[in-house]
Amino acid sequence: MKTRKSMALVLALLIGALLLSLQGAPNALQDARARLAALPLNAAGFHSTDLPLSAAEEPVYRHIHVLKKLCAWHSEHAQLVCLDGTQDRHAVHDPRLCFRSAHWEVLSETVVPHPAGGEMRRLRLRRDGRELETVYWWSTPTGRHASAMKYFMQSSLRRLTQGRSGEEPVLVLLQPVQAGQLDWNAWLGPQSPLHSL
Amino acid sequence: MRHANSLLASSVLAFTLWKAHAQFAAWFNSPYDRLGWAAFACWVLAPLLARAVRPSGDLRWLTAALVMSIAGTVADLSVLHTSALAMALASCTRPGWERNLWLAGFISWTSALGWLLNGCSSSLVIAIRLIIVALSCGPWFGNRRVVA
Repeated sequence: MKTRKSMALVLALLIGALLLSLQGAPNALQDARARLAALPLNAAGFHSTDLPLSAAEEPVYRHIHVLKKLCAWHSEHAQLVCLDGTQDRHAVHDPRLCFRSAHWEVLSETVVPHPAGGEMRRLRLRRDGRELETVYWWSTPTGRHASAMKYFMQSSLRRLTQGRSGEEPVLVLLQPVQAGQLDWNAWLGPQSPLHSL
Repeated sequence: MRHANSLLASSVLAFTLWKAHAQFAAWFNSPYDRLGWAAFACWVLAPLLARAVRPSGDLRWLTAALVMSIAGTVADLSVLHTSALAMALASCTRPGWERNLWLAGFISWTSALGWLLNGCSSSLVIAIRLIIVALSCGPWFGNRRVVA
């Protein structure tokens, strides 16, 4: 009798799991599109233009909202990438894995304070004799952090609570266009349109 | 009753396999998941070769696998789907500490291990995968018992 009950439980769970998977309901979570659109990316002294996704990025990011810009701030140029994984969390990877997979050598990595509060991760990278320094962090309206694990936990909790646990963290990645490093305090300081990101 | 149990175990196994499909794709797309399929093949073949497979599924493990899978669907977390698959497979093996150790070795074929070891070279990640498989599967062969 006990076995029969246990089998009935497993069968009920299987049917429930199957229905849940086949339901295919659209993700009703609010995304960060409005927050990204509100950035003043063509303010005084700051200029930005859209960049197309590369052939490698296109299939990975096809379901998510991506902001990819070439930015000019004073005399420096940078590439800004913001990934909002609300519609497909699996498209947002730990950038260290992505860089290494793209044959960049990570020379060093440091978690440093973000000029607007919270933390960001600074990576020094090298590939084909070219060295550059990049920074990334996950951003919500309430804070910033540099931990992929924390992002996984935040985004999972958000899905489990149907969005009640907070807003979707957006992965922000900023790097020089060619090589070298940027003046991060200027790029992310109070005068910069990216300060609030 | 035994036939019904086998049918149920096969259905759960098929379901968890389907839900873990992202893992199978990752083996061929991500450098850090390279040869994860080989680790999986060794891991899954070990109880077969050690004759530690049983025809009916352990209902507690099948229940745990489905709960894990539902959590994975709701939280949209791939590692829960791979854990569910591992538990469903474990439900069809001989109980004992060898099974627990073998189950823990499922990490060897997951993307989670590649992510945890992202500071290492991809060759080292492959080596670590295979070492974990060897350590987790070894006891099946050291203590053979035929299960009816």
